[in-house]
Amino acid sequence: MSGSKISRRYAKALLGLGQQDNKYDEYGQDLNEFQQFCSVNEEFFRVISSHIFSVEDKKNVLDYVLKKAPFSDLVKNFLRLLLDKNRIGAIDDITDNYLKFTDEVSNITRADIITAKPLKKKALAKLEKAISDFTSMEVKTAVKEDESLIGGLVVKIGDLVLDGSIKAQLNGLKESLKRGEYN
Amino acid sequence: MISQKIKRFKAALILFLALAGLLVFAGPGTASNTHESASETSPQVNHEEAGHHAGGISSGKIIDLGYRTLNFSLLVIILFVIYRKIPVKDFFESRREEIKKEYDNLIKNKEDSYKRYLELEQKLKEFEHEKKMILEQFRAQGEAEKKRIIAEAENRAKQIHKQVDLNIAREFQAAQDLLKQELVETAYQGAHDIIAKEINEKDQSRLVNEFITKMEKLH
Repeated sequence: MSGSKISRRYAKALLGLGQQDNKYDEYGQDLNEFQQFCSVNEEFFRVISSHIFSVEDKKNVLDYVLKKAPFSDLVKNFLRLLLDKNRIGAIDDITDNYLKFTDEVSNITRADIITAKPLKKKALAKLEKAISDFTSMEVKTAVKEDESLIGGLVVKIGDLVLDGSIKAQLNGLKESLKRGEYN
Repeated sequence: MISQKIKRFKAALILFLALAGLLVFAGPGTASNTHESASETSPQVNHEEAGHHAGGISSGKIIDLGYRTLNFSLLVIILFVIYRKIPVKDFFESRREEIKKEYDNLIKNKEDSYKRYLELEQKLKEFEHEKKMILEQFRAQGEAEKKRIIAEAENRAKQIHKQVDLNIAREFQAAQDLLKQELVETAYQGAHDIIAKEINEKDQSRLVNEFITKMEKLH
């Protein structure tokens, strides 16, 4: 079974428990925090995901961290289970899947907005509404700036990319000229 | 054949022994004769004998005659014995048969050789004919091969010409494309630089609004 499939299963299992006690958002935040902690503390993550150390040693290290973490008991136990099953290394994948599932459950879609110049608040609100209407879901946006776009913006919703940048238009024009469409 | 040779050898041996015996017996006679002739050459010693010679037959001569007679008798006896002992007639008969056989064989061999000669001559003629045929065949094959090679070379030359033309056209097209690409790149870079320099907040707002309008239309 592929790692991604296994990650989805673990994420779904945690979501099922979260839905039972209606705390799936909280669990998602805990997981997200733990994932960020791992990405910041690479050495810690290397130790707990390594196969060189014994499970007991790794458990001790994880417990030390979890004791100080304000995570819910269910998430702590979930992380211990991942360690026991040697799946803690897939925490990034599991977290991503979990967040996707929680978004689905909450009818939320995430959109990345990449703009050449800073967006005005009014324009951003209008854009969020347009995306929400387009997807028929609640939208959570993340705005990034990229000057290489020259002008305009790019919106990414999952696998869908809507490119309204000058860069894309220029590239399209260039390709058309190369193909000799304007001869 | 071997027994005949042995017989011949035996006969020769007996003949040799007989002649040897003859010589042995003839020895004293000859010696006395020699002695006599020697005495004839020295006149001082044999004065007396010369006197006898003039008077009649001497005793020495009588003894010599005896020896000669004995010698002759022995020769006759030996020849008779040899004649009896050796089947001379058979020997010559067999020899004649042998020679005849050999002669017949030689005649036969000659005929065979002649036949063989004729056969070989016939074969030689056939070979000559075959040689001619092969040469003609080779010549024809050579001609055909020559024609084929020339045709192939001509075909190849045509192909090379075609390939060269094609390569030239391709190179020309590639150069044209490269030039076009460079032109497009230059135009793109120029447009990029101008737009990047000239674009302002107002343009950005317009672009965002256009994007939102398009999204709304999609919905």
